Amino acid sequence: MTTTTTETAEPAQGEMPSPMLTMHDIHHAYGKTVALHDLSFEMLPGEIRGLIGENGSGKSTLVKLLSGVMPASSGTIAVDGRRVVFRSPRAAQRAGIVTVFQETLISAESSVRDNVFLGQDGIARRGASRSAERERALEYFEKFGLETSVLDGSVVHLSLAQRQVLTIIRALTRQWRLLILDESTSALDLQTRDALFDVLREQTRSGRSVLFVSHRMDELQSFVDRATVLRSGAMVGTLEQAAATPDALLRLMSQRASKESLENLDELSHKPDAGASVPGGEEAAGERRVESVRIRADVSLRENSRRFLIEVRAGEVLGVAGLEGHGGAAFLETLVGLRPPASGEVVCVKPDLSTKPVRSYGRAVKDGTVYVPGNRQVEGLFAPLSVVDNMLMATMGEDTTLGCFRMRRLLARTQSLVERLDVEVADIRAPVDRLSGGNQQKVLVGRWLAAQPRVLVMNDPLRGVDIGTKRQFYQLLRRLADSDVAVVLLSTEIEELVQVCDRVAVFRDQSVQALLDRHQMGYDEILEAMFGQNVVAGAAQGGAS
Amino acid sequence: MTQNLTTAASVSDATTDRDNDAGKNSGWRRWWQPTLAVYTAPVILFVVVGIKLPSIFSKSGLLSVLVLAAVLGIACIGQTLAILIGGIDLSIPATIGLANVLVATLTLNHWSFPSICLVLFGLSIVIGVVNGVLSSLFNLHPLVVTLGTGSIITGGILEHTHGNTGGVVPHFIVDAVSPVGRSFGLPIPASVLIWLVLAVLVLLIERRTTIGRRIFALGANPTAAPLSLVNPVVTRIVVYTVGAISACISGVLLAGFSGGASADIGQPYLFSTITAVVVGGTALIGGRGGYGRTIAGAFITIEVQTLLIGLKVGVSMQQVFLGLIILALVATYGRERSVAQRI
Repeated sequence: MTTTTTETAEPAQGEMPSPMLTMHDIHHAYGKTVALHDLSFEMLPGEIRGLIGENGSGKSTLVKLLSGVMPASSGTIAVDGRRVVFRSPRAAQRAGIVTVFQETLISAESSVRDNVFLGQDGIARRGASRSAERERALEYFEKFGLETSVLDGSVVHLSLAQRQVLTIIRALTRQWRLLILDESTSALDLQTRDALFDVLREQTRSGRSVLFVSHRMDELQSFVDRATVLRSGAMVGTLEQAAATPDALLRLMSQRASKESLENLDELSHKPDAGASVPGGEEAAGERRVESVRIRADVSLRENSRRFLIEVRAGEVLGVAGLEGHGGAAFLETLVGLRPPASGEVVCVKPDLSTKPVRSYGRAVKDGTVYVPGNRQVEGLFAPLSVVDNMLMATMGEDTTLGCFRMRRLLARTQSLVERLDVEVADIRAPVDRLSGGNQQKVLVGRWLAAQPRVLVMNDPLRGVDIGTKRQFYQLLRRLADSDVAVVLLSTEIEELVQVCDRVAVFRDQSVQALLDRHQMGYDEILEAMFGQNVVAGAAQGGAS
Repeated sequence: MTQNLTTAASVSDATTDRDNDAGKNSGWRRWWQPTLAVYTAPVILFVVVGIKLPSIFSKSGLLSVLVLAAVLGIACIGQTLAILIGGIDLSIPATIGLANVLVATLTLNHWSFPSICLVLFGLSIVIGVVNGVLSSLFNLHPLVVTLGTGSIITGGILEHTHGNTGGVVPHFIVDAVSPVGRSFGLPIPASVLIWLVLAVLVLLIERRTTIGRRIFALGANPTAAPLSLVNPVVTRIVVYTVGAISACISGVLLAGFSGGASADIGQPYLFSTITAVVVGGTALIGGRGGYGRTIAGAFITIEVQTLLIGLKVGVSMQQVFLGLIILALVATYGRERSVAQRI
């Protein structure tokens, strides 16, 4: 399973140095979801290793295991050949493993200096004398182009990039032997990033190692000695610097894992060829036809990100792809009025071609745009409440006389949704948290189908849902699109997008990297765009066709 | 389960009872036991108290317990709703004091009772809006907000009356809380009847109205609620306004006991409203429980107090016992929660 295409590190061959870090047979699962399996991984002293893989490939899990955030379900980790078990981040740090995470963990109440040395002081004693500390920190400040005067200031005034530099300096001033950079260079400008690479190259000469997790091909190619590719929780290969071209890395990433589980989906004949492009035309099976609207977003998501134009059309399923944090989710929130765009506007185009700006979530819903949020436990479910409550929370007001519910109608409406979505539930008045994850997800979608949407926006609704339920969903989405609902589906699974979507918008760096048509959107094309490899012509203009 | 559609069942939450048609659905057995415990405990406790104090079995003994439970139970309406949305209302004692003092002093100044009610109603809305808006907009914990408003109310009364809070209490209020009081020709004090009407109303609102379900939704998941069109600010304002109104009713009734007024007459109700709600089994994290349980909790609280007084336990030791009960129950209910949130 682990096909390591390595031709051994170049300095070695004869006297191979013993690895400073060994992970053997690592297996880790979150409940039923397997995040890593049969993973064996070694790092040599002085090595700079790259780690790459798409969302959910197991990178973050690997980093968390190494930095002591959680212990592995099974398998062993050894440092210098001695087995270690990290029960806390502190334990990992004592072994010399220091991690800089993607989220910039800053204590906003403290000064810059205190942030740099956060966690190194004892409760009563200071870690080192003040002046020695200052000197060490200032040295890095200078190298990374930070004004030395900020050291005594407050963190509040620092930019995102400066905060990221700060967390890196925090790590560098510790006693590290293995430094893990978990996508922690994403906000840095080129100059700072190169300065950081220089510092790290120099420091690894003394035998320290760096594990560098990144989504940027160019960074990987210019900085690392070797690059390891993860896919679906397993290592699929390690390439030498010279061999680690974007093409080669992408090839490894896109090797389909186990295809048989998805094969039975192929019979799902999506994309009836006429359907999508002729809104308001022929008859639809099963779902009630809705008044068709279009949503046009001409926005930039962040202050200095590229502006783009996307039109969500009635009768189509528009896929949204992209690595986490690259703007896909932000785009959905902007579409439904939950997040104002940095510039530009989202408008709803009515059938009579009159337009209406989408300014708030409440108004978006009134105009028929609904949003099924991504994290169903946090943003979706009312766990202790009944299936009826959960399904009808947004539309209960429809079934009242003099303010009181008409119970029969309320229950009948729930029952019809339960049947339409095929929710497996014994008692619709029992708490929703007794249902399985897939059925809970159906309830959430039911909540918004109850509102008879014209535009249905969904944030990764099928994460962690079984294959049978997925299939039902795909058919439902198809039926909805055929009845002129505009469907927007964000998914972290590329196969899913290829299966059900008419078009796919791939996000990268808070903007649309590529807008792929049906005949362009293969698995590889989407993956390449996610990693910034190809820009399909016309992406910036979007669906204004 | 489709045949259940025709039964007049409520859209019930996880922890409320469904005893009317419960036999038909499978969830019944699982919920029967803990729910039954809450509702049988007051009865069992009543017998226990009766063994120690046989006089409680007399008509006047029974009615005294009912009247005390009514005053507490009415004050608990607001506390239950506040806790259901995941908050708490510490301004209830001060609002009780406000109503208590105003009804006495304004009556002394020859205000009619309806106009006094109107004033109290207006003030309740002000208190509710302030509590609701402050705990929403500035991201302040309702604990702090309601503690603050409570303190302002109490200070305001003392400033306005210069500490002279005495007055006259209309005789019908005295009758309303007297065990020998009658209403509509029945030998039931008016306070008990008022509680009965209010309780039915609150239970109906909880289960059969949009705002009722929204209160539960907001408490169950404050992040998801706004995404499902539950307006948190409006919901909080409603909850704290209802809370202030119910506290005012309790405050007016309390005036009947003393025949006079005092700004800090509500102080014991800070602790006892929370006790009654928690003893009933409404979870402090919100979204679970309901007023039905609080009714049982109010009876239990009053009976324990009666028992302790009967055993000649001092006021301070009563506090100690009630505190122990709360701690024990919160610890027990805490376990249920972890099961509910296992995912």
